Amino acid sequence: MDSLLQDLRYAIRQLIRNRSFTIVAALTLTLGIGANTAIFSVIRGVLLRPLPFPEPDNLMLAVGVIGSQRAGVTAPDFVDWRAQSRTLDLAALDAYNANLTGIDEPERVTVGRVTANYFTTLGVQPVIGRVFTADEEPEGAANVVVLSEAFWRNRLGGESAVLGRTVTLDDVPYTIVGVMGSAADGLNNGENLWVPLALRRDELRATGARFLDVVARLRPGITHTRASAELQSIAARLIEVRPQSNKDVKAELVPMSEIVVGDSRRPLMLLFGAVGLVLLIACANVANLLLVRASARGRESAIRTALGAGASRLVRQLLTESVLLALIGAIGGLLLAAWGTGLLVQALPAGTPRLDQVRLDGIVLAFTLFVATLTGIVFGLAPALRTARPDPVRELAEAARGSGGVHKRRLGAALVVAEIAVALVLLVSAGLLLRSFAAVTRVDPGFDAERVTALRIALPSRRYATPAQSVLFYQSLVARARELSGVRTSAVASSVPFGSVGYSLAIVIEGQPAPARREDTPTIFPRAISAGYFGTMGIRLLAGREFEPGDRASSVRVGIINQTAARRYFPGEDALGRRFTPDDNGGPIQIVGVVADVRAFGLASDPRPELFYPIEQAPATHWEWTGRAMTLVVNAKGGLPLQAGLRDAVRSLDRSLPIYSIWSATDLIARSVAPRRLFMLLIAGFATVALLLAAIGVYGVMAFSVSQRTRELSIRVALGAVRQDVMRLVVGRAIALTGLGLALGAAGAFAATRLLTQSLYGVRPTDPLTYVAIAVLMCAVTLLASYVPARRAARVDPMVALKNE
Amino acid sequence: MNSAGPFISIHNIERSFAEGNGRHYVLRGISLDVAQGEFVTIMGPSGAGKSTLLALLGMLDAEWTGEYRLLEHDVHKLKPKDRVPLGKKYVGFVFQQYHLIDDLTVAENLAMPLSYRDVKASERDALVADTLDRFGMVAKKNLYPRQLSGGQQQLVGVARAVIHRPALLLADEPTGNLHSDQGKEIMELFRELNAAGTTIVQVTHSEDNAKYGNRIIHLRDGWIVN
Repeated sequence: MDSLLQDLRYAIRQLIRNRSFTIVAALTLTLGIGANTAIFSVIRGVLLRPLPFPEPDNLMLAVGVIGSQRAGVTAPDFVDWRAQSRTLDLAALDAYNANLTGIDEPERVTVGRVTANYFTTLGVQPVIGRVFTADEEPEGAANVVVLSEAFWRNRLGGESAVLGRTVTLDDVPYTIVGVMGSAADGLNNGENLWVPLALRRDELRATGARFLDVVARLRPGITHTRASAELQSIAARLIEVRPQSNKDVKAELVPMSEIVVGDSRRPLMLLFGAVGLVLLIACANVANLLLVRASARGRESAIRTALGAGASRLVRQLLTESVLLALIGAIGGLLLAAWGTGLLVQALPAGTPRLDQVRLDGIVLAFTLFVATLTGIVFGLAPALRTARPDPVRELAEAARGSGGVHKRRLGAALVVAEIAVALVLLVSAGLLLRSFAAVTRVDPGFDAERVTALRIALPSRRYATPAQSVLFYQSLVARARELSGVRTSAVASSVPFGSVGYSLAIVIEGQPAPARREDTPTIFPRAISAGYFGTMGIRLLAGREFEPGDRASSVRVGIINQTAARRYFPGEDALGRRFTPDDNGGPIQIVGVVADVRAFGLASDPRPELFYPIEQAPATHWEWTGRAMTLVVNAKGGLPLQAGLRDAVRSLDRSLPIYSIWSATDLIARSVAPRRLFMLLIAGFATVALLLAAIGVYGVMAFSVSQRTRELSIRVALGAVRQDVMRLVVGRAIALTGLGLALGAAGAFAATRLLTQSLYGVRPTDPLTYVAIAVLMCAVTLLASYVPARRAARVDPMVALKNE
Repeated sequence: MNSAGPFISIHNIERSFAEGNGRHYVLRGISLDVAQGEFVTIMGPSGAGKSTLLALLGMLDAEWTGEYRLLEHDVHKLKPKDRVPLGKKYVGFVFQQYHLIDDLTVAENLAMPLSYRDVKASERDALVADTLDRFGMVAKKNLYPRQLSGGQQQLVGVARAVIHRPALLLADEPTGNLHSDQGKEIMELFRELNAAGTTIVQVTHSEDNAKYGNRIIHLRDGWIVN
């Protein structure tokens, strides 16, 4: 213990005495450890922190599986699962949007329809009031509502007197009976409030509508395997009960943590990998700095050894110093992370779950401490071993001659080769993501995004009970919008590109045999549109005709399909005039036109089959399933006056309608690529840091090498070498190290970039252009980094060779 | 070569370094002629300016004043960078510490001065082979300096200095780190080279070594004190 304290005291003294070394090394480590701490704190919050439910490992989502795709659960299946399962408590949720009135401005809110046992299954308690009771579950039993804590605090001022008050959802009054804690938003759907899931008769008969999320909790003493086997056997039995809807459908239990985390895991883990590599480079740099110091301290170690110090004692002393240095870096890193984590959370895509859970807590502190200690050992060990295994005779002789250090130079060179290799992996990744992003932004969305402004509204069922009422409202709205100044055309559509995805329907095509496997059933995304939609959006008609005034509710049901649908379902045939029947109770549709594809699901996503039909012919099911929501689109010069005009147009028709989103199509496209952009920027940022650190590493190694080789270089000059010869020697060595690093790095990048495949678009992970461009960039940077030491070397005084001591 | 005048003629050479507000003189008013084929020894205590004079003669130092004529070349009238080719052409160096490059083999050490004189690879290999043979080091050509004794290392040092057949060999304490037997061997080699026509200027503290030369010049505090 005493000797450890002695080591610590000596280490502190050493670090204070070599201030510039300490500052440079600590700053390098601050950068590496800070980036790791920031990303880890996000990973801890989003991925690792236990879900806010009791026994979260026992909580799962029960899903249907069709082929390899997960799907929701139908109402009749849920009822049967709940009745038959002996191993699971099952609860269901159906999230939808509704118009909330009765509090200040009308507002569009997300409502969760939940079974009475939903909150008890999750294991969450109300903050005030109560949850639903079983007798409130049947249809029409009770219009009661439970608020989310955020909604209660933000919209109702967090008053406890709200219990018993009434709020109106889609013109139906509901009595507030409770307020749930923030944990209740278990599935991350962002619900503002919940009402009892009163399954309607039509829902209980709808065997194809997979609209329920089913939460499952293992009953006490039941294992996951047993529950899973039971659920699968129930699902197998239900195939016989409802063969048409359940053929080829299996059931599966998915851990709730996986559901909550969603797609966030992969990019976060990739970012974690990237900052890990940055830390490795930082370690290599500090190790190099230590090697430089070790050469200056070679004599000291030799004397210590000559005086009886063992190698382990010397290693321990040197490691104490490096771990202490890493801990200083950790303090800096924590400060950097405290600042950077906030920025990161703000910058992450809005859909990233559990960002409110991200903070620097004890676990993050422990992680930083662990990383710092490990880092200290990693960068300190090699130099320590090198220093602690001295050949006293040689060290003393070399120290006297001011030369030597060949082994240290080699170790330094190996470290810098590793740095270049790792930096290349990061830079190639960043380069691929950059090219990918450029490729995505070059994709033609297939419509006139520059001039389209959109606004979404939904009509409450009470006042717009029939399809005709909804149609009349939307036709009037289109007419009002068209009167606004600057508006060239306007239209409405149930889903617009980059807006809501809508829902898909299975279709039966006349004249084609039914597919053998369920997952091969043709499906299509239906969009109800008003006349003039294609013109407003700038979508080209490729064949047939657009909708005409004669396409009425009472006339033949007609549809226009996109090119993808035409190619996929009518390959090599003319789709015009063909008929198919969607699963929407609206009857068969005759195809009268084919329009060009639009990148409706994102610039990087291939178009999927889409069906357009006139709003006049939209079946009742469509209005029901979409909550009578439509998007008004106008082709006009955008800007605030236009947006205000559009709001006024809606209000002039119905003052109680909330307008919950209004956007320009270019904004929407930009928002759709924002996560990709952010991921690219973060990786590019870390890669730039890596490049800088690698450049500093090359500079350090070359400068050290020049200082160590002064005698050799002066001999060479004395023997006839000129300035260029000496510079060539130094730069040539830098090029050799870079070349080796690039070769190793290319092999590493080849393997590592496979992990990026999912994030790439329009560029392969092995894209030669990216590799060559990055290699050229790195050569240029390392040449630049070696130029200064090379110039210094070229100025070496040959007289040094003549000095005897 | 011009045999009419001296091989080296220096006149009133001064060399100083800035020191505080003034200057520290290492060489003062040095005038000296060395005839072709002469073997001159420079002696004097440490700090007398011996090595500085040697560096100046070998064109390694350009910061001096005075006149320096090497054969028909007025060195003092040349720009420093134009003096380098003269050094490359006429001068070979032998150092006290041998100054072999640790990471190069004996053969590679010998080839180094040739590579700086743009000698073709084939010719270079032939010259290295000749020199190895001449100095009896063929068996050691692939060894590294650390695998040789001090005497052997200095033998390589001398071989390296003369491989490009310089007319002037400058030796700075060539036997300073050697046993007397090894030192004697090197001095005999110098005698042979001198007999073959190489002009030699050596710096030494050894009276015995000085006897190998035709003439001794004593330096003290930068002055010639003969």
